[in-house]
Amino acid sequence: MAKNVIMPALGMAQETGILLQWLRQPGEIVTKGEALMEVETDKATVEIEAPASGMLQNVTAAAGDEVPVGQIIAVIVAPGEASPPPQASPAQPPQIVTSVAAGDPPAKSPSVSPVAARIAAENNIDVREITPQYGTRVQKADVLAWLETARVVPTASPRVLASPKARRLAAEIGLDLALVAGSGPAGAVSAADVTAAAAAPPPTPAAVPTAVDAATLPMNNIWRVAARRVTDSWTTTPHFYLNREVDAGQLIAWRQAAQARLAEKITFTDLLTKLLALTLSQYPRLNGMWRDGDIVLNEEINIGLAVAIEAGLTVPVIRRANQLSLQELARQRQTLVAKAQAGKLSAQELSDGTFTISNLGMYGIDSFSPIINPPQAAILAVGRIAERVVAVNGRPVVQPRMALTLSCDHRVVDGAGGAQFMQTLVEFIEEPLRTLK
Amino acid sequence: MTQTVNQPAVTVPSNELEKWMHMYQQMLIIRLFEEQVNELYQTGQMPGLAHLYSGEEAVAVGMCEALRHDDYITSTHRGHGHCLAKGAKVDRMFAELLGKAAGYCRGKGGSMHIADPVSGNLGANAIVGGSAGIATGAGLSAQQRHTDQVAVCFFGEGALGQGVIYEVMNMASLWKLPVIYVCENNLYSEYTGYKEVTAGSIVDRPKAFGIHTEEVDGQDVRQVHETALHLVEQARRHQGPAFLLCNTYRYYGHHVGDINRSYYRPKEEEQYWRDERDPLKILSQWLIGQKMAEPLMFEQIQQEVNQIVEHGVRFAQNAPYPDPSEVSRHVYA
Amino acid sequence: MSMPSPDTRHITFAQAINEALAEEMRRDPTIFIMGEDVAEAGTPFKVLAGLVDEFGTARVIDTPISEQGFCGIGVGAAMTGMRPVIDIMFGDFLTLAMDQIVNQAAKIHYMSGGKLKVPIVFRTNLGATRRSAAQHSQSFQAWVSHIPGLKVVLPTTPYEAKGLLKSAIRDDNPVVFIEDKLSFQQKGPVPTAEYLIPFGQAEIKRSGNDITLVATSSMVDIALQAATLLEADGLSAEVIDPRTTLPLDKETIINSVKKTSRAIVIDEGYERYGITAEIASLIADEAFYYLEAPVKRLGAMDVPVPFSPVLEDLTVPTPEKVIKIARQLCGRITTSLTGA
Repeated sequence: MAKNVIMPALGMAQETGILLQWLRQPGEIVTKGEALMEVETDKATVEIEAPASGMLQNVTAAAGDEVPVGQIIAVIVAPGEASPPPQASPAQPPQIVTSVAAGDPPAKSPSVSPVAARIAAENNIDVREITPQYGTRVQKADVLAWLETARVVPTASPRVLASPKARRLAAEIGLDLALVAGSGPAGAVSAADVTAAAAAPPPTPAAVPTAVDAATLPMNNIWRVAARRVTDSWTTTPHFYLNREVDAGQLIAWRQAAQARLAEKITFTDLLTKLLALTLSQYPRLNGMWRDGDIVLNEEINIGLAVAIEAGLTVPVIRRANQLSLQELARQRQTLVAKAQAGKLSAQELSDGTFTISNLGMYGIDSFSPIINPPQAAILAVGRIAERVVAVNGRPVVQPRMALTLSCDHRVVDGAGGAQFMQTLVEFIEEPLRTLK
Repeated sequence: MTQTVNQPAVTVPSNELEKWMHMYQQMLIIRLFEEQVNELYQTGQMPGLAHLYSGEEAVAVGMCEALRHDDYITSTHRGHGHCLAKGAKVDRMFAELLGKAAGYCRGKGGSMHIADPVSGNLGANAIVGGSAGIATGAGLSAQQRHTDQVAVCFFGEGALGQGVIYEVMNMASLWKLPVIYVCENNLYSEYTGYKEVTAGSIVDRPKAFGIHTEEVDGQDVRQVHETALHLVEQARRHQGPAFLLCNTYRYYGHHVGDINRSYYRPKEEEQYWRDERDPLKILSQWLIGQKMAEPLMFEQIQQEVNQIVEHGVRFAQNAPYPDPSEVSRHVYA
Repeated sequence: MSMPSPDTRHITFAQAINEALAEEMRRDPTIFIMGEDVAEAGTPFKVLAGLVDEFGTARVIDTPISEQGFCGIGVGAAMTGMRPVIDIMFGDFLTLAMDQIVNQAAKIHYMSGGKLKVPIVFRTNLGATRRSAAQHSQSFQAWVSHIPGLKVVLPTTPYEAKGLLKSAIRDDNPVVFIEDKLSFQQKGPVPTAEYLIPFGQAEIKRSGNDITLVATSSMVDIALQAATLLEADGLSAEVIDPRTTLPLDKETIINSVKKTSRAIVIDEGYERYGITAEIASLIADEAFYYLEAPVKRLGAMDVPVPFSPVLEDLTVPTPEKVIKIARQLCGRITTSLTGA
């Protein structure tokens, strides 16, 4: 049977996707699971797998086209099967799309060491689920750490919580429950949520929401709003950047010690969040914002975590991070990331951030210059930890080093203020015991 | 004889010989029926188990021959003899034992639950002592409906361990109910000699409730019958309940599968009862001794009964099983 | 509530029972009452007061304290043309008569291939909070509802007590008729004219759209109180009283849950393995794809009923417990449901 290739919904309330390029050409034989096309949504570029094996035919979208989610852009015809007539794209709201990639991340073959691959196989682990601690290659230690975590804290199934009635209704109207925000007990999707989602107006890409609308738009438009705000940020916020490289040796030791003590998986981001929250409490301007010509200092220290999911970038917020223990930070981070990956973050979990941390170290990035998440005053970029030769007391020493970049809104923070903040943060990182003072 | 002529008794014998020969036949039917049941079990032709009445025939026959057709009995797990003595037919009895639709309970009761309201049989009961309430209730019912029916509650001496017996005897005595409690002491409560589990005197127990109590040789049908006539008449005249202790013996084990019994009773004991205390022999020898009957007459009866039993087994074996729809019928009336 | 005649009086639950018995005994001479202290005493609850004056001690029979014995006698009388109404003074004493009810009364019709019938009523009661401690406070409707061959009736109002008892007496099967001890003095409208209430017909005591409260006997009032309190939350609760648990009116329950999508089942029997479990399972089976939330149950706490009022009151379902769960099911509280 011919299988439709559709423009997939890769993020919450995503309405369109841009076809960057076909990786296979019409008439070619494709195998289910291999990369078929590249799609850009919001901030992410994603390779989409072929949903079936067969010949790629009836290609209706060309590179560069922006296509509504759910639209059929090609078909894959099984060998020996007649090509179906070209179909008109169904006029469906985006929620009615069955996402090709939903719950099935793009099969990027990760780089894995042979030992790690063997251990993973023995323990029935998908190595794609493992984020390497260093660089991009999954090592034995990564797998062992993953196993340890898995034993203590079984990873929550990303199954969508929904009432039986909601499931029945969603199945009847062909709605993907993963795309519906739940309002029922324990955040479960209720029948009312399904009917509301089904009744939502179909996307009208031409209608750009006004600023007034933006403040009152329902949650399923948050991404669109965020995207526009980032654009606003880039075009209206005077950014400047401060770079520091730090010795990560103590950070690594701290992580090992904390991991030995706690059941929760502890990441470098958890440690940095902890240190950052403490530093921010000493530098309120970095935790402030520019609002209508005024500098406003926030009472709470709410740290946003830039989380990469298949669909792009999302920034859930850990509230009052300065009041949380490392264990609590790790727990909340784990919950938020899991929810982000399941597309289940609530509006509340995405709002009221006062500072953002973005760590691309796990992707092997040395350093980068992030865009400020408005209306926040600054964002901290964290690069990978890599061994480098540095001069210590005139002698070459190999140290694990990590690059930090602070992007600041010059209207709120000046160079010296930002530099002092960075100095304190670096001291904490290089000597976490200072935080006890 | 005190039986009223115009009432529908099971049989109205025209003379002494006919009466005793009829009882002999009834006892023989039970004897051969039970032997056939044992064979059906041993040859794997009968589902489940059965508790054989062989050896105790004089109790059921002597008692039931003193009853009218509309009098009630309740029976026990060792109940085939009571049912046959009260008027059940051999063929439908066999059919019930084989789980056939033609059985007295449409195959849904089995050996331990044969009931035949037409002959006044309110049912065998597989709970030891379980029918004591029912028999007493039937007596209360007769009293409430102002009839002169009598209810007979058969039970083994093992049921003396059940409290309900004493509860209902208390009420039967208080309310002068027409109930006769017939205790068949066959010496064994299942696999245990009764003396090991029965304190004091059996007959003192009903006496304590002020119940008229008699004790007879349960192997002598004449003695059982004559005492029964007296007790039934008394109950019919609203003079209250009675307790009849019949000393008897079961030839087989607790049930057909209870083959190795030497651990609780010697073979010699079984042989003694079969040789010296057999109710069929006791009656036939008495009739021959009285010159009322000749051995040939008993041989004729034996042939007739053989035919009845053979026919009954064939009928049951050829009868159809119940329709599967029967499984959920009769849960509610 | 359906009311067949506008010509009604307000009488107590106990009077309604008494009337039903008197009317039926006048109609049918085979009916008699038997039990402990039923005649001159009229039971400790005075429910039967006066009946012995009209019908005499031959038809209102005081027994010794022998539950198994007089229940068994009742069974035998029922098999032979009578229609006894047996009084078991406290529901807890059902245990003493269980062989007669379960092994005899319930099975005789079936075991005899339909030849024998046992038209008998076992009247007894349920309910805690009378400070009667562990052996006089239990609610055993689940025990008897488990048994094929029995029917089980749980009247809630005087109207139901009378109409259902008359049906029970006329039924050809053994019926366990369980009254709420605390409702004997409750008054309610009862028609003057004769009426019967058939078994297997639930009553919608209150209509609502957001949640179904299935409640039996003593718990119907708890459910109605909860429904009133839930109005403040803007939640409209439907209260269903099955009235007989055997047979059970599945249709009314299922239709209600299909409408509301949420259900709490409330019964005063022990919660574990109880009436509530059976009805919750029914809902899960037959209305699963209409459910918005898990079906929740509320029964008596799984402990022997304690004497001290402070402790005893903790063991029974209350309107507060009901509304707490109802709010959770309706998404008004975000607390985890698993510990509810």
